[in-house]
Amino acid sequence: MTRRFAAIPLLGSIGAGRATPGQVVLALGILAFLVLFLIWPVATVIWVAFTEKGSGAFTLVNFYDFARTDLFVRAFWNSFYVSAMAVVFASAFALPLAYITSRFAFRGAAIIQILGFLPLIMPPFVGAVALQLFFGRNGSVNLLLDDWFGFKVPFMDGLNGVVFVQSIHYFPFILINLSAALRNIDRSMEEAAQNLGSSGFRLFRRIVFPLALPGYVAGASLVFVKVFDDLATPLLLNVKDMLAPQAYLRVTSIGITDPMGYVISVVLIVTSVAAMWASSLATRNIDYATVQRGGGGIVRRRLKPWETAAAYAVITLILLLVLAPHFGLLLLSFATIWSFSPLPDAYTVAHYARVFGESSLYIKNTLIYASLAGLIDIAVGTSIAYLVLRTKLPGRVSLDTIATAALAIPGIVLGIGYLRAYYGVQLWDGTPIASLWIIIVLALAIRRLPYALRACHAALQQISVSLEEAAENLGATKIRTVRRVVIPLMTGGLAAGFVTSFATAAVELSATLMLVQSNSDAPLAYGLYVFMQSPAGRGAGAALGVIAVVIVAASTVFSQLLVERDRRSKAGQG
Amino acid sequence: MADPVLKSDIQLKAVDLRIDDVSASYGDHRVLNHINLDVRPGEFFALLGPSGCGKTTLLRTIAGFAQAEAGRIVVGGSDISRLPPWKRDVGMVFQSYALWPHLSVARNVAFGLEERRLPRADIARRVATALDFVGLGQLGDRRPSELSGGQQQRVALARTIAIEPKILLLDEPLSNLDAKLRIQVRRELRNLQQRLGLTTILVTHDQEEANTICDRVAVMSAGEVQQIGTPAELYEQPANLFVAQFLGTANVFEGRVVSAETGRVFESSSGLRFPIATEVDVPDGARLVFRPQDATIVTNDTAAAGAGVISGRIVYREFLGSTLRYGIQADGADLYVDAPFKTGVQPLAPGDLVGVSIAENSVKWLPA
Repeated sequence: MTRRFAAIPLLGSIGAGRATPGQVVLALGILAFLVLFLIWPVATVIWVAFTEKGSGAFTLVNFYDFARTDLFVRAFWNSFYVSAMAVVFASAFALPLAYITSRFAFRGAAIIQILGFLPLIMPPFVGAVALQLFFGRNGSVNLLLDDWFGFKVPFMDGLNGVVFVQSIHYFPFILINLSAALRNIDRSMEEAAQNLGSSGFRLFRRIVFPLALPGYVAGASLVFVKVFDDLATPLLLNVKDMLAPQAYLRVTSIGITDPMGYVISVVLIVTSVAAMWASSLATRNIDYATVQRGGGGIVRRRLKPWETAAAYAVITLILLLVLAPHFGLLLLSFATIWSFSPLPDAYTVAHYARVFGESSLYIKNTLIYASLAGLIDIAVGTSIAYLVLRTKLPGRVSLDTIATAALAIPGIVLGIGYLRAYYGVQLWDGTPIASLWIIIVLALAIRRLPYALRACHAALQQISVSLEEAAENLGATKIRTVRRVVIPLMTGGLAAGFVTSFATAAVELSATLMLVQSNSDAPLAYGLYVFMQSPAGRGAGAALGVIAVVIVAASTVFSQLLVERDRRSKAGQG
Repeated sequence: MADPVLKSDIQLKAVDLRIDDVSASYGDHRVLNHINLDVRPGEFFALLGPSGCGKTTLLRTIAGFAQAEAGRIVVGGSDISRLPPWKRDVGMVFQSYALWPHLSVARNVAFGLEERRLPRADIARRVATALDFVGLGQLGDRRPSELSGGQQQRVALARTIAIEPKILLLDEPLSNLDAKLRIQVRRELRNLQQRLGLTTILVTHDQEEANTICDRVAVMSAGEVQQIGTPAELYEQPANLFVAQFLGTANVFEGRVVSAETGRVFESSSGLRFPIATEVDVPDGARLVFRPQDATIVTNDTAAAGAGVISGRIVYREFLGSTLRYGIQADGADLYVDAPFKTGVQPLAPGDLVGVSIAENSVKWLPA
């Protein structure tokens, strides 16, 4: 008996205890999960890229081949160009919006908040099709421009299209990060500058902008990496000379033994890591946590009438752009024929009938996969957060690091890794493990784990340790404390984490494109992609897209409600 | 014996607490070094010291949240040092109160009773009694966030006494309250403790808090108990330099006893001379201590200074309300002297030359 109690909280460590057998088992379980489904597949990809086909000897010849092939070099620069330009345009959308909301007392701020989340509820490749209809060579806008002025603008031609679609989709990342940074600036920072005689643009340039810069850089690097890794959007726009599509085409058309797909994967990983590393390096010495008591953000002032008009003009323009994919998709899903005309010829509900008739399997699969992935993420995320925050287990932080490292692994790389690592592994009846649908679920779970982990970590972190100690002091054991105090207090955060994982997993395509082996196992995003390949399928594809948007939007709203209710129920306390 | 509000619903018994040679480390750092304490049944006992002195660790060791590597903690005759926190029955009121935001006030108070699997009716009765006792009988349905800081603290107390703890631990109970409320809550706390009759340990870094509400105080520093005694004892007869300086302000001089024409005097290393009463035996190497209020400014005419009067110059003046504190420089040494502040009397000013006399019997000696 005394032996057992020796394992409970030890000195000084403020609530944390010496490792118990249960904690060790939990940590090993998580480690096994991460090794099997993250480290091993990625290591396989890297290993293949650096070895000679057949012999398995170490070689750099694959990289030499990569550098010698014009197509690949061009693909690399194209990917780089598209990502950089997407950052530029996304910044052009995000900067004015962030500035307007944080600097001015402005009624339209609510619209901007919606703007900041509308694009995210639609997967970019879905929006691509709709944008093609509006902005393509023969899309509505160009037809009208041609009619009225006699010229066309190549919004959607080649790489332009990818830049256009991606910047509309991803600018919220910059908007959200930058707005948060501006909001977190302690008002006294600005007041001190004013007190010393600074004002207007000089004040903004010398004080506000430098303090908000880390937020901007964080958002911008995220946009860069996301665009660089994205497979589905260029594929749908039929842009093949970019890195991710090249990797996909190599593996699907030449086979999983061809080394070039792996070399491209390594290039994708290295670029992602380099971009994140560069951004953290750039902000390392300028990231000041300036919020002291109160915080409050920079001082807001009233807009003059003409300024209000200008602000609304900017917002309206961006709102139209942001809504274009949604609107276009909706029109397309109800259109009979929509080609070479500004608007569809006639409307029908036949596409929805077809989707619900033939393709309800896609929807069912998506709901199952995304729910399972969300549950796995919450379970693993909570466990890691618990080990990190509440125990002294050696190596617990590295679990967090490994799980978070999944951020740097593009979906396509994970997909290729699963194929390569598990195709040879067979079940008792000879089915390769890689062809099981559960593999898709695991890939989705790993891809979303970093986000879910942060949600779980935050949910647990805001529970003061003394709340748990109070329960123990009043007679509750560790397990009873977790059940009666920790879990109830985490519910809101966990639900939000689950929904985030669920909603984004529901429209993930990069990894699933590699892993879907039979149509009956395919999720909605895959079905959408298949439909969109043929002109006849576009209507049905659009209907499926609308359904995807509705699922994601509904779950986002739902999670907001949960978080809000949770916050209100314990208002005033952490 | 039973309090009229508590009746027989909540039965508390005063027991003694013995800390028996308890040591603890945080890594290489010794946080508690052979602590020994005997707290009497029903006593209100303070652990007083600056931050980092180990007082909070000692409290957490009693509650079981930190574990001693050596020593025993004995409550009412039984050793609890190997028990997990949830089996100790030592009620702790947390500094942050630690009220669970997802439970109502009544559910917070009921928690410990539910963990003890008490019948529903008993739980309801005890919760009502505990809340009545702290004067919050009407607020059971509220959320903790809807209460004021003072009310939250009383809920935390009610939650703790509901489980009929053997002893009560209070972790810096006044630190989250504003200055005015602090004085009021201080009295309430003393009053509630007297009614409960529970052996109570209070942790604080505020000497005024410890002095005003506690029966006895243990002054701690660097993981060790420096001195235990009533507030007056500690103030009157500090055991060492740390205690002398931590409790109030003290003038401390190193030096030696020498013979002069007027008899024995203590000559400080800076050359100041203090007369010594003939019967006093000064230990070798002892330091001389006196409080600012035990010195008197006798004259502002140095020429008239007689034997045993130290002459010096005022270098600063602090207004403390009922008194004025003068900083006086005399022969390169600094000393503090308090003088009562009287309306209408012009205080002395920096630069004035003064004479200071110290009553022989108010001088104390600190062993080397």
